[in-house]
Amino acid sequence: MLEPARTESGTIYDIGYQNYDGVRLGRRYAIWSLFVHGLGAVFAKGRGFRAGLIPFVLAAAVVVPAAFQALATAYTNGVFELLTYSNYFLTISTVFAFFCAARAPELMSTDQRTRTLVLYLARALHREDYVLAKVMALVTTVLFLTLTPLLILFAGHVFSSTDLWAGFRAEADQLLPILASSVAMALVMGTVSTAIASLTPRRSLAAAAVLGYFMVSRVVVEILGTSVGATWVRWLQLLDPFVALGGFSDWVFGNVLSQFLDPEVSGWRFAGACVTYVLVGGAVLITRYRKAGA
Amino acid sequence: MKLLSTDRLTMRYPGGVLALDDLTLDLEPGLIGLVGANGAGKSTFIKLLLGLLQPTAGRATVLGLDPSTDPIEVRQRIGYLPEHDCLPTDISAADFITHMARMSGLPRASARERAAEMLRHVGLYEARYRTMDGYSTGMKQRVKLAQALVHDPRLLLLDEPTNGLDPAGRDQMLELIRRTGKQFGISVLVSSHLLGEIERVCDHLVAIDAGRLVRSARIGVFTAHTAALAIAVDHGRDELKAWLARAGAIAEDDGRGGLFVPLEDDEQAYDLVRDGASELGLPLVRLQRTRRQLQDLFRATAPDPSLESAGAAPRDPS
Repeated sequence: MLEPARTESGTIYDIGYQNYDGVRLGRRYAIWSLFVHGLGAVFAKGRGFRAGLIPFVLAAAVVVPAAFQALATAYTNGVFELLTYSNYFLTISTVFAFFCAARAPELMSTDQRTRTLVLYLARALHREDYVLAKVMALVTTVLFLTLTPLLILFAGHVFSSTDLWAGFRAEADQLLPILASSVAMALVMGTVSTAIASLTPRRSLAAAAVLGYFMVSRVVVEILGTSVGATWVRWLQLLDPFVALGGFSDWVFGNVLSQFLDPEVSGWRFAGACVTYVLVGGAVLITRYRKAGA
Repeated sequence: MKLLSTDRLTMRYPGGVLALDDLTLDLEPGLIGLVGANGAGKSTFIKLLLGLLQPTAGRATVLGLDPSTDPIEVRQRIGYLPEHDCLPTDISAADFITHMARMSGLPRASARERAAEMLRHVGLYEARYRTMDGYSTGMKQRVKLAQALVHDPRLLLLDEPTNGLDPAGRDQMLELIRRTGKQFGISVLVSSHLLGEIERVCDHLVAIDAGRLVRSARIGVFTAHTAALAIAVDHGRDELKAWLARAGAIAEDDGRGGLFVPLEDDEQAYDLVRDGASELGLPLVRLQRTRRQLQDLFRATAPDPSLESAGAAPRDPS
């Protein structure tokens, strides 16, 4: 029997080592666990009330306007409609920008700052798996935040009709566009903001960079749009992801009175821009993590 | 089964730095020390074994698997303790180790159970629900050991585990490593730039310098040659060296103006030095049995002048 070893914070009693011979669930389980862990990180799970305040307030700011609009729609039978399916994201895009700027660094920068990244990479998953789990955690959160208000608006429309079933059927063809525009929003916002945040281990810098990108691109694009009328400017405007997303929403909802769409500009342009955002964001992430932590 | 073997393993970083040069090794299970000065290639070697880096040439086999083609299989069987800080601050040790266990594929309940067990093994059972920002360096180092052990690996790769610890912390860490290797039946590869530490816990020693293998041998073989006589004379050092060479004893410069003579079992070197000094009429000011430092070991086994310019051995400023 060995003497128990004394340490500064306790006593090590040797009661023998047990080998682990249970199941090892492998790579897919590891990715899933990291994804779930990431969802917790987005909402500051286990970090106390104060840390959780920002994500929840921002999430509420995204959802609550839709609830008011839905009530208004239901009471006025759709006469008073400030927020529509297609303009919703654009109207509250600033809140989305803040949400992503606040949460993407939590997912991407923290592991780099504390250098925990290498511990993940030394385990049962690949570099790409790590990136995928983290990005999908933010994408899923944003999807939840985009889908929820649109479904609330949807409910408002359904309840504005006296016959609920008829109301539902009248509104049902909006469900697919709701899903399409929400998924586009989630993928673009999620990949772009995680890609930017992954570039620096400093959380505050990452937050500023994400917010800066969304805000500066918008201001530049707006100045260009009002001062220069040339057709190439309309291409340049796609550098603001919210222009790409707004145009895409208008297109899928068949909104003809759009600020983006006209006979000259096809909706495919915005769809293509959204895909490009996701691809470029993905490429930045893959390149970044090819070296990181090695 | 072989624990690990490498065949002409070479790693050149994109910047052009040659971190490992043609390393060929065969190691049996056990407690293995990896010694070398800072920058000798120890961390690079460990990262190649983990499959975190791809070798530029040659190959490695760990537990019968190739980490560059089968990294996940290899990593499930390896625990890794990095040289640098790698712990998040705002989470408790218990939660963190549980999370890491799940990253290695352990189901939630087993992960939690193993995490508690490992934290008890490293002596952090009472502190396990505190967030780690309040932990001392020694405690953090032990959390790092616990996360490396939590998935019951067959091999532990410990990169400078005693770094930054005070003497007491060092002793505890070394004792933990020794206990882990001897009683748990887990093979350990522990890197250090301090030979003394490695000697205390390991039974096999691998010395690398500037990316090259200097020596790989059982610890006894290694330390037998580290006993030596340190000699200093006021003048006539080179004459004494030549005299000793004629008498059959190879003396080397110790880099500080004196000489080293390897001390064999018969301890004849004492008499030789005394005779040489008296015959030449030299003022012998030091004749002392000493243990040679790691850098002296390198000088003795790899008499390559380029080693010194590579910064492997500290040069005498005088």
